[in-house]
Amino acid sequence: MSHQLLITGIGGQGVLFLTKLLYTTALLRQEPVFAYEVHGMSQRGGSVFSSLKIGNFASPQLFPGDVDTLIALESSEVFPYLNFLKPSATVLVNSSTLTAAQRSWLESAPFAPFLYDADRVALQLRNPRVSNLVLLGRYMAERDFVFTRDDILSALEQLVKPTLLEINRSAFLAEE
Amino acid sequence: MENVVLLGNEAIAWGLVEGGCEIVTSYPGTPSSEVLPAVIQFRQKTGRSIAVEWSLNEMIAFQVALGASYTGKRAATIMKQVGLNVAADALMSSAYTGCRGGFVIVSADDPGPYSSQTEQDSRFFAMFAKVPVLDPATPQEAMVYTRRALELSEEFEIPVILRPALRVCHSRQDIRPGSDFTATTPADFRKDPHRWAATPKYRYQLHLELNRKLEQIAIRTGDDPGFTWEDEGEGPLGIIAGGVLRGLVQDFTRAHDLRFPLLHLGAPFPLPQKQVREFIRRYEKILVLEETAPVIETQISESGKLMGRRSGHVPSAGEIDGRILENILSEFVGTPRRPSVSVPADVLKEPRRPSLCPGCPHRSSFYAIRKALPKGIYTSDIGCYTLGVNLKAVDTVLVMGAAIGLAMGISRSYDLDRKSPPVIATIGDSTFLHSGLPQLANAVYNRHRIIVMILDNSVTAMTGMQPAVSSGLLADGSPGTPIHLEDTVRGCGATFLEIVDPYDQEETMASVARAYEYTQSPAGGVAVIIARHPCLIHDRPGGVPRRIPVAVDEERCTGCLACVRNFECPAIIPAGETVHIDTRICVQCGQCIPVCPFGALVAVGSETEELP
Ligand code: SF4
Ligand code: SF4
Repeated sequence: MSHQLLITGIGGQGVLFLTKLLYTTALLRQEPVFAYEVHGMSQRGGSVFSSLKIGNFASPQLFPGDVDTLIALESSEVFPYLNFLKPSATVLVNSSTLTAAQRSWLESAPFAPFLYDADRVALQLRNPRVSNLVLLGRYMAERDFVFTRDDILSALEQLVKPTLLEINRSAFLAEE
Repeated sequence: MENVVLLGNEAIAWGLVEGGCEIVTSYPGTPSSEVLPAVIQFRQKTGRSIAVEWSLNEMIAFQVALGASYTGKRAATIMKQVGLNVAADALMSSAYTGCRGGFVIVSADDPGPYSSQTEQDSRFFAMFAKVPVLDPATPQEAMVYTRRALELSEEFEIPVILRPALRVCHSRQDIRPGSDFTATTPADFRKDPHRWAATPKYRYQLHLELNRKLEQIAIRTGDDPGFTWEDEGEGPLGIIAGGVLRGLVQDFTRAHDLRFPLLHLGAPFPLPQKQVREFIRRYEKILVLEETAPVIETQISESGKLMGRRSGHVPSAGEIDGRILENILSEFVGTPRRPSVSVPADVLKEPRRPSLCPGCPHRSSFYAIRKALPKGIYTSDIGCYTLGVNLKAVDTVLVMGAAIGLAMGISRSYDLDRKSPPVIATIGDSTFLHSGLPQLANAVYNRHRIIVMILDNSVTAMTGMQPAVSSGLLADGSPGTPIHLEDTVRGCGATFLEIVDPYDQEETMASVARAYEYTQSPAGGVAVIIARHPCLIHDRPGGVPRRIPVAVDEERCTGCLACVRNFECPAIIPAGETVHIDTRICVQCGQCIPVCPFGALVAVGSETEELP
């Protein structure tokens, strides 16, 4: 297996949790994994990103044009990273704040965008913080991903306290 | 043990614990801050007895750990690269005296730089001080090298620097932690004045001995396949690489099916001359890849074939990321450059610039300062509050403590010209204790007419919420003895001291005005204000004791954006003709209400239940 991902968003949206979920999944699947996270100033509301390289790699860093999947938890955080994408990349976008111009550009972009208003669903679940899982879950319900839904669910069980497991599961498994 | 995914800094911590370190000291600084907390976590897990401390600055941290090593125990001190500047005096001298128990200095570098004043290279510092340095490429290697550093140090009785770069510190990798724990050593300080208290005459002898040690260490690391090894390939280009660039080159060549001969140097100083010379001899051209200074390059005498920073083949500033490496190598292999995607301007939004958190008390302090003394000169310091630059309330940032030092020089210069603009130094509570105390004593003694505002949010927020000294909590959460800022200020002899809550903006402005008056009075001098309010990320209930939901009255809002410009709360978002409050991140502090000149920011309703 060889798969490279970028996860982007703004502070407080759960970029780091999603990263943790994916590298834990890789570990359970016994795939070698590198992840890189932005630490440092703990301000909220600034751009943050993390990256994952799953498979046989020697470095955590990304080369332009190599990323298979971009997951953007904030719609404006898609665009600064486009040069990292493979032409065949998949782009998952939490579309709640997508402008009309952004939407039409993305829909005609060279890679396959998956636009979904995960914030809305997360709010219905009364937990705005789970939009990250909603987005990934909805995508995986419709298309193939490097991991299966069961892989993700077992990692979730490992990571989340029992009391919070249900809300996280239902976010990941949320139906339209 | 099973495989786990560890952060590079956690991997280093595991290496320290497994390697039998008994004393670990640190001063927090990105990207090194996660090491000490991880040591505490692993101490708990393994039940080993390890003394830990957040020292008040890096010089102290260094000396505490070195003192432990003098007794024969293994010890480590952890800091970021510019922290090593603070500890430099002790480092230089300890290279001569040497140490006894294994002593490793973890100095985390920040090529880029991403969160530092400089992108200086700790390997260069090692070379300057004449101590060996190890340069891991990955978290896995960082764990192994940490342990090896302790062993090397103990065997040769010399401090060893471990230099992880940001991309090691903050990367995660699946690794298998070792569990071959080194036994502890009883404390046994053996008196030896010719060494531990050497006079200049003996220092010369120690220097000769140091040179001999370095020669032997170069032979040792050169022969050790854990530090020096080759990936075979086809010339004519051979690559010598150190640190994270070794991994980057490997991923590049794999992706492009290239096979460059690659010499890995995990221990760049002292350089394993034999292996390097032998490698260079075999190829027509040699590319040297290292960050951020030409440390390997300058140690190589046959420079005719060398390409690197000195020849201009490698940029002489900034991090070498995938894109730049691709550019460097494409000159040699003609790798096709990838077409770049261009995004029209109406689609691309500027990435959000870092700003102080919604509700941050520093924002209110800066706002009050600018309101009270709009013509002031604002020196500031290292911490979250450096972001006050967005509020135009930060005119200088140099090094830890320099807010006060520079303020003294600036105000004295105006004094000479018989002018007296207000000069206000802002400095965080932990930065003040790190290096502001002697500065303040100097300001009192030499009667500098400046205002010092200590921004006391009771935590070291920027580097990950280390407890404040005033809380009396130690690194592992156990009780220590609190130090109160007001006692230290009075102890330095400052007589003007006021304590304000910056959330009370009126009172803070009044205090700043009184402080300025005091600095200008005949008997006046330095005036100190402690602006005390908890960091909201650290202590939300304490930080927002009363929630005041704010809304924009669109009738009144003129869209002037004064609020965005002068207050810059990330929750206030420009929206066409007006602004809106992003309720996802607004903490309902109400601090923005007085900022709007048209009264368009208004408190609404009562407290709400759900908060982000
Ligand atoms: S809220 Fe007030 S300060 Fe902000 S844009 Fe509107 S009128 Fe200007
Ligand atoms: S109340 Fe005003 S200043 Fe406070 S977080 Fe909300 S928008 Fe920002």
